[in-house]
Amino acid sequence: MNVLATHLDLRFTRQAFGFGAGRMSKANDPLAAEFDRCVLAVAASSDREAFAELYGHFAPRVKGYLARLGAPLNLAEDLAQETMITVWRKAAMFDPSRASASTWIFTIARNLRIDRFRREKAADTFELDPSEAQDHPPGADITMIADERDERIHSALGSLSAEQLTIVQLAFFEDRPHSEISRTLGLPLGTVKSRVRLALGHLRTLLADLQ
Amino acid sequence: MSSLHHPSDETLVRLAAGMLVGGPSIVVSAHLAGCAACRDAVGLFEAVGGVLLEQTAPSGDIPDGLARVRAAIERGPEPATTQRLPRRPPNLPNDIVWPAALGHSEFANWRWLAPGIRVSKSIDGELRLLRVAPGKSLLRHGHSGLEWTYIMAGSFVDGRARFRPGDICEVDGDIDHRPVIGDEEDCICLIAAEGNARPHGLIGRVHQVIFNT
Repeated sequence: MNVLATHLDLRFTRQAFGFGAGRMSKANDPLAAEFDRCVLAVAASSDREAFAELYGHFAPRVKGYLARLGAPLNLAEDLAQETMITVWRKAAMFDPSRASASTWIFTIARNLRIDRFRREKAADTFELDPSEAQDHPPGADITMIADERDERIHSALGSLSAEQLTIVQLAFFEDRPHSEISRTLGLPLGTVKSRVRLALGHLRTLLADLQ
Repeated sequence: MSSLHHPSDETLVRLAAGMLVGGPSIVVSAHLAGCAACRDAVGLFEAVGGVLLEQTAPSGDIPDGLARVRAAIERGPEPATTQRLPRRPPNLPNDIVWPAALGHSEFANWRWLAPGIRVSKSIDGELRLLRVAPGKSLLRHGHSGLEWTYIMAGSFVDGRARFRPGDICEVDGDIDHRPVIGDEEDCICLIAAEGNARPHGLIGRVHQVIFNT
């Protein structure tokens, strides 16, 4: 799973994610709210146009995300397709007060990927499922909570140092991130652990009021 | 059950990212079931994942992708697979709360390892239940990778702190620890590791047996 590492360096990640030049504050960003609305429309009325909009936005991103994780092209496409099928089937479980559409779809893709590895290993492990019962009926007012959180996370990531941003990203994209962090940032292995702790601590401090 | 000892942020990030899988993800999930703070942290890190997904450059289109997804939807859902019933190892005290995270795991019978020390392995080999009598100690050992221990009953002290039910003891290669079981009752723990334990003595070797048999 370290294939990704060879593609990933600091300049690449900064540019790929375009921090600083990104979206406006959430209140002015209709895109996230629009995707929430699309999932709710699929849930409420099997809305095919809303689903096509979700597909057009998320299928290529899920595919790209999985490719960054080192998945071969056909597997990345396969899992992206499965992710979108699951979006359709489980749309009723989407709770916009708990997670934005992008976070919800991220967790679906993550779980499908884990499932796939589990089947390949024929091992039996626990499935994380964050999309269990809904506590609140979805509504426009609470929809904003998770979307605003995403926007805060977006700017928090943008305000991390280049080194700390890389550490956070490698934690997401690497099976065994320490050696990769050491290689990418030229840090001795012995100091990686404390740098990781600092980077994640900094991120949590920036986002403390969201928890 | 309010925990004092939690998984590291890095572990929670890896769980949220789908990078912590198998036994370790089950052990950490057992802790999450009783720890709202860690659940919130994982939720936050999942949202970081959502933002990273959102910021991922879209890759090329999938040929006939939407049409094929629609066709699959029309065909209807796959038949649900039947779930096996979880199997607790025999002779667990009745008041032990069996973690929901273990819903898919099946455990073998207890095996004697050393005086006062018994182990039950999960059938898939990912997990170990360890049951150690009060006052016993395991000899000092280190780890070549990370190891997570979720305490289900009893307690132990490892030179840094006392770990109680609901806690997670996360140790990595830098820490040599020598757990000593509390006097009050048997300590029952759920353990998963990445890499192998490095023993420094006899019971350390027992520990190695736990993981390598």
